[in-house]
Amino acid sequence: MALRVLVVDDSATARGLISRVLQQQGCEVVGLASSGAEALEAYPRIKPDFVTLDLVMPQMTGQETLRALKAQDPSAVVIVISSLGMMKTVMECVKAGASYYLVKPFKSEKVRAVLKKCFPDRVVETEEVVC
Amino acid sequence: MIPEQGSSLGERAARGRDPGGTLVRAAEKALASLGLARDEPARLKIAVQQTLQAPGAARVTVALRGDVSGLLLFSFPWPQAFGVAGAVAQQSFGPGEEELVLDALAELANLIAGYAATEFEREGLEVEIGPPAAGGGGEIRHASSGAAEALRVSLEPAAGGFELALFLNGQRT
Repeated sequence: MALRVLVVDDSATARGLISRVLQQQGCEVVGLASSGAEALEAYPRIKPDFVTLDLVMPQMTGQETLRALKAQDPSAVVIVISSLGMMKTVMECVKAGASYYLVKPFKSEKVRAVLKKCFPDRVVETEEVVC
Repeated sequence: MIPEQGSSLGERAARGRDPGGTLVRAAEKALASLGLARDEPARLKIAVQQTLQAPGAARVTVALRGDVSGLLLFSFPWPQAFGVAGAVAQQSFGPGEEELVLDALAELANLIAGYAATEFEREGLEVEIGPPAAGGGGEIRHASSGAAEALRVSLEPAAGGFELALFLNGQRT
């Protein structure tokens, strides 16, 4: 069964690029959110297997959204995807409960490796799609 | 850190700080990561100005806060904007899709600003970036409290040239 993902990014371009890469990996994009508020509303309704989360967003930042998501569901799997590669920011996110941190732009293989670490039983070793 | 208030770009450069060089390195890295190689080296110009005219251009601004505070302005002539946006979004855009073009340009600006913030951290400077704001051109007035200086860089990736300007505040924010 495909992994179900909620993609959170204020940029429609980024949502499209991230969705494409995840779909190439066999994931099913079950939700798109353009803000932290939309993500918090969609998460309990959609119940995705994981969330990809941008950091630089208006109103509610990615870090604030991450903390709110983890408060809503401590077991939420959140992969931060950001153009920010600062160690301080990465550490803040990990401390707040992010499962992984990817710096934009990212390669398909890197996403696959991260998904395999997050979901070792559901990502099969093969050249083809399988999440 | 650059806590010195009211210091000019020239004074900062004399102290070994080169925000323009950092910005160019970040832009080159971001463009390379997207496969948008440049044909020519970036041209660096420093100009003191309070406003920047960008008529007939798509533009994106990103606020910088912290040890380097001010505004990053990306200016793309519309014909080139379509090409650059297409390369970023990995799809082609046509007339009537200006909003999508602006969104893709904003993502490029976000990428370059993010890389710049990361480069600044390596230099011991703490810089936060705000979300990009895109628009259709006109005059940009730098709303800083101190004297504003604009550092302008022309970039010419294969997909189409554009210009970015860094307006620096005199004070840390």
